[in-house]
Formats: sequence, C-alpha cells, structure tokens
Amino acid sequence: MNSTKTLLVLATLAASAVCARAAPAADAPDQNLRIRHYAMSIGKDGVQRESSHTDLMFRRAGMVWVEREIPSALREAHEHDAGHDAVHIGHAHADTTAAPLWVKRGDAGGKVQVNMVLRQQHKVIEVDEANYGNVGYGGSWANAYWVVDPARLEQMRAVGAASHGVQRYEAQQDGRTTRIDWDVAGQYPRKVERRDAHGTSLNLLTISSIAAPKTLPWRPLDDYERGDYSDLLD
Amino acid sequence: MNRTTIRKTGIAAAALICSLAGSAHAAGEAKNVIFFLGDGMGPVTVTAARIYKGEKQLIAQPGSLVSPERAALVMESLPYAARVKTFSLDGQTTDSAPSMAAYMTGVKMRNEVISMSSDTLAVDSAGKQFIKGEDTTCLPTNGRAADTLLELAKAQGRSVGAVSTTRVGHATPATTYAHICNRNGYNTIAEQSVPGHKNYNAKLLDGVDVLLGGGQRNYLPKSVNPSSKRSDDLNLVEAMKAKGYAYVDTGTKLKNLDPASTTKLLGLFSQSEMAYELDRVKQKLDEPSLADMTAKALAVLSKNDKGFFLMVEGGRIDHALHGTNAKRALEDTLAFDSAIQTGLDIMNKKDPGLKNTLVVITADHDHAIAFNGYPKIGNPILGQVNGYADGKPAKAADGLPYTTLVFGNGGRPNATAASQTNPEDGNKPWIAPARGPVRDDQSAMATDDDNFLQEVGINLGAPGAETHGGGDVMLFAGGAGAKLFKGTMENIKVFGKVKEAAGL
Repeated sequence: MNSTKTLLVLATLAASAVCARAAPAADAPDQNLRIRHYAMSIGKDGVQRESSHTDLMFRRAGMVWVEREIPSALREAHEHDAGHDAVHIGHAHADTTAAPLWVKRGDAGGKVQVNMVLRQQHKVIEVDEANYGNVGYGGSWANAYWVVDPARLEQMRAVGAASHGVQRYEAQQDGRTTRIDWDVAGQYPRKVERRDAHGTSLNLLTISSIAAPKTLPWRPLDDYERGDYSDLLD
Repeated sequence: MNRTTIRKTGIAAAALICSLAGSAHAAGEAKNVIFFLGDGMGPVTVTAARIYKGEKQLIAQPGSLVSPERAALVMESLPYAARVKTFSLDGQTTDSAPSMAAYMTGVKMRNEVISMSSDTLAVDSAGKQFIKGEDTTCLPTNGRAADTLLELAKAQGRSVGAVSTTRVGHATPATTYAHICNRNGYNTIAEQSVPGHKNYNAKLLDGVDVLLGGGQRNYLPKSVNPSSKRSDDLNLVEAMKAKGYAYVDTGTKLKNLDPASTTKLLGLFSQSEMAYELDRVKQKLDEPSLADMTAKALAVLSKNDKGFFLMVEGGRIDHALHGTNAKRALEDTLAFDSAIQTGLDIMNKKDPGLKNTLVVITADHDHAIAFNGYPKIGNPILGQVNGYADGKPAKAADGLPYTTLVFGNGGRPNATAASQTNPEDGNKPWIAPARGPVRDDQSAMATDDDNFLQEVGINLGAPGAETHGGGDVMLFAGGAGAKLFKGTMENIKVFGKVKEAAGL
C-alpha cells in the first residue's frame, strides 16, 4: 500500500474506534474474496426453497472483477462439453452464462465502464448503460466495489463496538431485519443477512478472504477483441 | 362462329372476368408503399402498448377514457387485418433475417439468411458462420440473390428507402437492399449499399435513395472512427457523398436538411444501434426519433411522381424484449406508433384517402413476453397483478406477488443484490428480481421503473437471452390495395400481395 492508503486506513481505524463508522475512501484496500450467496424462503404452499451460488470478487484500485465460481462437479461436466460444438442460444452464438463482469472507474467520481468477458470468444464486451441490468450490474459503483455501499452503513445502527476488526450494523424495515458485519480495515462486509420476523425468508451473503490468483484474470485480456452489447443480440 | 368472332368473344369474356377480378383484387393501385415493421412486436406487446398508451392518455386528459384498455393505437386504425405465420425454413421460431426476407422476397429461407434462395446456408457443416469479423465469407456457389420489393420498385423508376432505429445493415433493413448468406456480415452489407463499390448491389441502380439509422462503425474506417469494425480503410460515407448523397449524423442535422434539394440521403446517427426512445428523450440525445426519420424520408421520396417504396422499422422493440425490459419495449412500440401516425398524416395530405398509397404494418416474429394473471380493469400494465375481484395483489404459490407482464424465458441477472442498489453517479438503479427457485418480494419494488427487469419462467442465464416466440403475428393494412390483406397467411404470401397491390 502506498502512504496515502496507509494514512486512510489508519484514519479509518481511528475513526472506527470512536464512532464505528466506515469512511468510504476513494480506493478501498485490494481484496480477493469468495462471496457465497444463499437465499431461502418458505412459501405459503409450505415448500421451502433454497438457492445458493458462489462468486469470486477481485478488487483493485478503481476496478472490481466478479465471476462465478463453478462447483467442481460442474467443472468436470464443462470440460467434457468443451470438446463439442459451441452451445447455441437461439441463434445468438455466444454462451455468456455467468461470464465475468469487470467494472472499472478511472478516478473517484469518474465514469464507470462496465465490461463482460467472453473467454471462449476472446472478446471483451463493453456494456452501455441501457444494458447494465442485463449483465448483472445494478448501476451502483459503490455496491459493486464495496459489496455494500458504506453510505448505507451510516443509516444503520451500530451494534456495540467493533470486535476483532468487525463492526456489526443493524436496521429494521417492513418487518425485515438487515444485519451487516463490516470488516473495517478490509472495507468489505464479512456477512450481509436479511431475514424476516417469522423465519420464512432469508438472504445471506458470507464473504471470506482468499489468496490472490496466480494470474490475475484481467491480464490475458489485452489481446482480446473488443465488442459491444449489440454483438450479443440478433 | 368463325375464328374472329370466337376470338372477340373470348377477349370480351376475358375483359369481363378481368374487370370483375379488378373489383375483387387491387392490382397496381399503389404506386407508393410504406411497409412498417415492428421488430418482435407480437400480439402481447401490441396489447400492452395500447394499455400503456391509455395510461398516458388518462394522465394527460383525465376522464378521456373509461379505462386505459380502451385506448387505440394508430396501427389499429387501418381497416384491414390479417394473421401471419412466421416460421422459417429451418426454424419453428425464426429470427429477423428470414422472416423479414419472407416479406421482402416471398422466399422461405433459413435462419440468418438475408434475401437469398432457399438452398442458401448461413453456417458450414461444422456449424461455423460464414463470416470473419464483420466481413462475409459466403461462397459464390452458396445460393442466389432473391429479388426484393425495394429492388422491384427501383426497377420501375420509383424512389426507395429504408429507415430503422437499428444499424442500417441490421437484418430487417438489410433484407430490403442486400443479399448475403449470413446476416452478421455487416461490413459487406454496408458495401452492397454503396454505388461504385465492388460489392455494390447493382439491382439498386443509382442507389437506395434514403437510408437512415445507425451503423457508423461499418461505414467509417478506423482512421476516422476508432470504433470502426471495418477491416479495410475505406470510407463508405465519403464514397456515397461522392455519388451525390447528402450525409447527416445528428438529429439536428437531419431536421435542418432541406428535402427539396436532396435527391439521395444517408443518415447514420450512432456507431451501432440508435438509442431506445426512453433514453433518447431522457438523456436529450441528438438523435432523430423514428417519426422524425419517417417524415424526412417521405419528404425526399415522395418527390418522385412515379411513386416510392419505404420500409420503416421500429427495430429495438425486439432488443428491449430480449433484455426483459418491458418498459423500454413499450416506449419503443409507442414511438413506432408515432412514426405510423406521422406517415399517415403526411401521406393523407399528399394523397388524400391514400388512393395511391399502400400502408402495411406488421411484425417479423413474436417474443416470449406473456400477459398473465387476472388483473383488475385499469391495473397498471407495468405493475403487479391486483386481482379483479378484490383489487388486492395476487400471490404465487410462494406467497409473493407477481407482475402482469412476465417473460417465458430470459437471462441474467440472478443475484438479489442487484435489486438493492442505491442510485449513484446519476445512474438509475437496475431493479432485477432474483431469477431462481427463491423469488424476491416485489411488493416494495417499483416495477414500473425504467430499469425494472421482469421475472422469467425459464432462466436461460445469458444476458439478452430472452428468445423470440413462434406465435403468429398480426398485420394491419390500409390504403390502395389493402383489401388484399385478410385471413391467415404464411409470411411469404405477404410479398405477393404487396407486389400485386403496388403493380411491381
């Protein structure tokens, strides 16, 4: 980390000791994260439904890369399929299911660039605003970069003091409780939980730090072709 | 009877039959043809757009309608209607290439083929497309060109044009003036429109008189346009200007163009597709609306006393539907309807009663959008279903509400996080309920937000993956020769009817 970042982190730690609020820095610390998504609901039909998936997120200054972590069972099946002809979706020819999302922002307050990476086609798709939702970018840089916009934490109630570098926040709205365990130094949430009062609905993000990959996934992209979203449509 | 008498009787009988036939058929009445195409604009999209229009009308003039369902789209004002079957040669569900080509040529061809013979292949035996980048690799032995209505009109000395909100080389407009085995050869399609280029479509004679839409990146080389997709350094815009084309690239320039002194017009307003109408308006982009483009095209083309053929496409209704973004689809449908109003207004002035003008409005194919539930009359079309009996939100098996408009299939997104964004940087949040076994509670969501993406039945996972639908589409016709359009017909039959009505 450079000295500016160090100062920012120290300032944040100091601030957190006093008022336990995370000051959103222009650049958060680099992170390599495994994000486990879990959703559960019990319907009025008595059926309990669950869904889970895992993403890998790599955050560096001014950019964040999110890609699906493919379960090992599926990885083996993928390898088998790769030898066959490419999957046609209707007549659009790219299989872009769970293609990595690469969101960049030059300077703080600079324009956000959203890209989708098609590894098989060796193509980087530049996505314009009208198509953000369709590639899974919600329109908020802060939510992509920090997973939870730190500004949102300021609207929540801090529960006790930070413990082992983690500050808990809580908020209630419409019968739902949201709890966020915020890693103050790392500037990401260790856990985001949203549950209703009756236990019939639960959304849970569990985030852990992982080792950086040997090859950062955006390195091989320099020689990839550039395309735009209209390349995916008929 | 001697031979002369027999012959005279025969001729008289034939003349009688012909005159009787002339009252049932309408051969050659329409020297002018406007063919309006709403890409992917199937029956549910039309109905939903009508209700959406009604809601806007009631806001502007409260009490002017009993309920929004009673509104009327301009396209409905045409007196003749038909249903059209849209299957292609190899697809139960078609894409825009063979489906529009069916209308333009009367030939049934494979998916992705642009105005060629039925034996034409779009991909090789290994399934690889006949393209390299955006250049064609179609072999000269792979099929033959099929004559289009636009070419037939040009051969009669009429003026011809194609207008779209997509790239001018996109499938729908391309089928009017180009011939290629694979629609993705955008550079080659562009070259076919340029008089003097070695790939020029000679059947266009002195050139398409009006070509308006997007697609700068296939006409301008990298040296002047870093976003160019061209593999050479040819400037097709300059080439066309050298052949007498006026060139415009903004809405303002199109507005200021004097049609009286314009014989040939090329307008390219974006790199690839033009903006959705919703964004064009909200972001105040300097792009013409489809109505603006229609008006200017008609001003130029109608100067020809011999008549004209104009194709106008609302090209991005399809794209919004692919993205399961119903609001943008409905806004583009209303923009398409506005263009129809503009066209009718202009032609009713120039040709009162449309005595010499045929107007056809149709779609190339349907989509997977569904109008579901039992919503109460007057229920907001982009809202959740509030039941007609009690006005309360209808709930699915899981106890959660659902919207009236949903899609049978569609793609990403799947994470709930996308629906919890806070607006930032002036970007509006994308509200995308989770797609999976666990549904989100949409009770508190603004399902009528610009950026709301409806739920889907079959999650296909990939962005923009919502598919076309195989259902029949509707066709509306008015003006000269319109009476030919009735009943249920295969899409290839539309060609013959336009040809007959227009005397081509």
